[in-house]
Amino acid sequence: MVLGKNKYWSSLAIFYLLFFSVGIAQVQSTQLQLPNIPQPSLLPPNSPQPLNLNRGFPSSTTPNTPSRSQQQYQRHLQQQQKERQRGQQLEQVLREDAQEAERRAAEVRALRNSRVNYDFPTNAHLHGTSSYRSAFTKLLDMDDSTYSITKAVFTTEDAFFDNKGDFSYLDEAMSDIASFLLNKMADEGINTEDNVAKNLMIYRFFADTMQLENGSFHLPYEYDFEDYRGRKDHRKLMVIKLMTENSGQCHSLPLLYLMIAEYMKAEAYLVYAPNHTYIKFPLPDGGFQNIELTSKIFNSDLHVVRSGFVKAEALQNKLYMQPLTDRQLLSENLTDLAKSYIAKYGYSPFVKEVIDSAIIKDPNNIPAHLVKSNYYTYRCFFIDRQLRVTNENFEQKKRQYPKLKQAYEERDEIYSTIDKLGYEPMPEEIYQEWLEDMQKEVDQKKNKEQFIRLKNIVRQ
Amino acid sequence: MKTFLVTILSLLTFGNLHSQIEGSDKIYSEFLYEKVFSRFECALEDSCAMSFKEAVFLVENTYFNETLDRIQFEQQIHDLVVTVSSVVQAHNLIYEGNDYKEVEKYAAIFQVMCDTIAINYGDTIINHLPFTYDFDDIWGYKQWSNMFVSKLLNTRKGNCHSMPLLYKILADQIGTEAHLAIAPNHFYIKQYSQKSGWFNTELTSASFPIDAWYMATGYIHLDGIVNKLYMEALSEKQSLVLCLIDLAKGYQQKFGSKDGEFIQKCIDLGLKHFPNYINALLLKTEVLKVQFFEIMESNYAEYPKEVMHIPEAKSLFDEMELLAKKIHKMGYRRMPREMYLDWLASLREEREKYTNKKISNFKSRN
Repeated sequence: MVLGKNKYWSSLAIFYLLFFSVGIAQVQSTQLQLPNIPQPSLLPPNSPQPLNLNRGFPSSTTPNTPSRSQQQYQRHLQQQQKERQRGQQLEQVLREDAQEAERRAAEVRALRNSRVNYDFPTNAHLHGTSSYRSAFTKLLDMDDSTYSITKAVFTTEDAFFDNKGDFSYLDEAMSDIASFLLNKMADEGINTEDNVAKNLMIYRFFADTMQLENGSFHLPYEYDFEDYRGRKDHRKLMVIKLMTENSGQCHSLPLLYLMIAEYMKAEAYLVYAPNHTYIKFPLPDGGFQNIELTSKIFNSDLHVVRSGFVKAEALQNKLYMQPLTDRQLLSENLTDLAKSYIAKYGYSPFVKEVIDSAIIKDPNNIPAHLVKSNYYTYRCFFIDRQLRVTNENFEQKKRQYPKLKQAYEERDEIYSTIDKLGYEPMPEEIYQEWLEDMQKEVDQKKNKEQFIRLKNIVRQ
Repeated sequence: MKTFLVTILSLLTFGNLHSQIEGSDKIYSEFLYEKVFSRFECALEDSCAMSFKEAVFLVENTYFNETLDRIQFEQQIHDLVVTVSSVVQAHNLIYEGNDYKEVEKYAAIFQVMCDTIAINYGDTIINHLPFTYDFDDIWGYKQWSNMFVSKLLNTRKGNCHSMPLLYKILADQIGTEAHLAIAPNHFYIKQYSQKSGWFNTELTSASFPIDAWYMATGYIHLDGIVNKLYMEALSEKQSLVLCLIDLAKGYQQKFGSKDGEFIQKCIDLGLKHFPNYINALLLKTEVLKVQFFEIMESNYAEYPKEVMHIPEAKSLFDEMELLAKKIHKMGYRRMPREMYLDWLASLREEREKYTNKKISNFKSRN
């Protein structure tokens, strides 16, 4: 009570204080007279200058008919001004010269000591890079028997947020989704042991609106067209973004599908296509059924082929349209980790370390090869800048610096590896067109028919 | 009178005289086939060298009982090589890549095969005319020799068998790489360049289709590509196997497959060096089928069921079934032959969609 009273009074006091001080200020402003600015004509020629506000500018206070002494004074001022300017200019030139000389000397020193960096500097001192390092070791510790897609995705994404996340929340959320879907299957009298049935249920979770146990609704996952490559914001590619915003793209949607499948103990695989991933799950007859989650359709491999960016060599080297094993998935996670690091810190030897281990896990992992090729390309630019390489002096510099030549040779080698694998770059506009075409081509009626056909395969 | 009767009797008992002559001809012809087979065997086992050109010539010459004019064959190819080199000399191609010299050769061969070229010959100008597609008898049903390179050289009309083969011969002669590649009922050319990676040359329509055309329209199951049944750039040895199977097919055309021993020998040798050569596998099923029908016929059987009690027939049938399953699993699907011409035409209709723009955008300077 007392405290309250005190507070009241003190605030009142502050209020009054404020009010009165403003009042006083107002009164003062009305009473005070502004001091007269002395006229220049009243000053003797050599008296110290007052506030020289108009230095360098024609004075607005100059009377219309200046007296002789005034003119002299003006001239004197201008002279002074000119000299000062000249002095400043000279100083500037000298300073620049000194800087240039210092820079050249440093360059010569650097060249003499061969202090050119032929690889990116490590960013290990930067805040947060250690979380990538620990994520990397965590991923490498996983082997075929302990691999968990949910854990791997969490580890990869959490590195971006400085490992501040808590896996138990995700674990709980995934178990909730899995048990909800399994319960729903049981409610509808569907065999909860059948793999096709489980996959169809996950498909419905992605494509349909469902009422949850607490009465709220789960809406279908939307395709997010905006910045779907994560150029502006790397988080756009993340499963955590898909789960919080209910919209994702061709990277996060299939990964979430696999995570749910893992918790439901359903068998499903990730599949690569040019610039794209989708889902395949096995059918009892030995074949596979595809699911395209961006448009929620049962697509066929022919859609992918029709894009025109799948070469025979790419199929023969199994770059695309093959169900990925756990080892290959881990390779994909490592590639994601490298991409996430690049988005946050740019290129550093750490990227190469991660991507090399991804390629060891899956020698034909084309996204990993592309990251590697970018690494080598940017490394060439990086060296170019230090050695001041231009189109004209390129050949000469290559002769001069064998390591520059080597960097370019290494780059060309990875380029030709990628070409030999059968990779054909797909422009982004065409990718977007292709996704839309696919949506148009499959009419919903046929898709529903396919769903019913699959439903009939389910064992009772 | 007696002699007359004897001749009549002999005619009646031993069939007609014509088949007698055929018989001796057959022995001679079989001798030639055996000779060439051992030549192929030697080459495939790396004991002796054999160029692709020689292999093609041997196959065709053996079919004609060694009556093909070798000097003429060599001369015709030599003339083409001279034309190709003169096109290369002109340096008309605009292409930026370190492999300019190779791509220039590719372009020259393509131009000689598919374009009209004016050649200064002394004071006169001779027009070299392109080779064209022969729509008549594309499968060699009427005349097996319609599939031959020698026929293409003589008539300047060919098909998807003779044209890619000639292209490869020219590439070998000019000293650059060209690989044959297989699509259902079809051959084409695959080459590698720095700027475009692997690319296809389709001589039947003088164009450069992208892989998607073969995949999406050409009755190729994707497993067939993954298992390298189709669309793989063939090595030199695999190309020789291709000729070897052509040899067996020539033999089959001449003598049928009832006596399958020679054909079987070719197939076995071929599959040893090119285990997934689809045409060899298909020929094998065909031979098995004919042999099985033979047994059915000799037993007056109408349905296969009726001869299953014969162990030989049973094993033939099982083998046939196993092979058919294997081929199906590898990704083979039968392409109806009637569809073939429609398929080739589809490239013309959907040129925009299926043309490799990286290649067709190569410009020449004039």
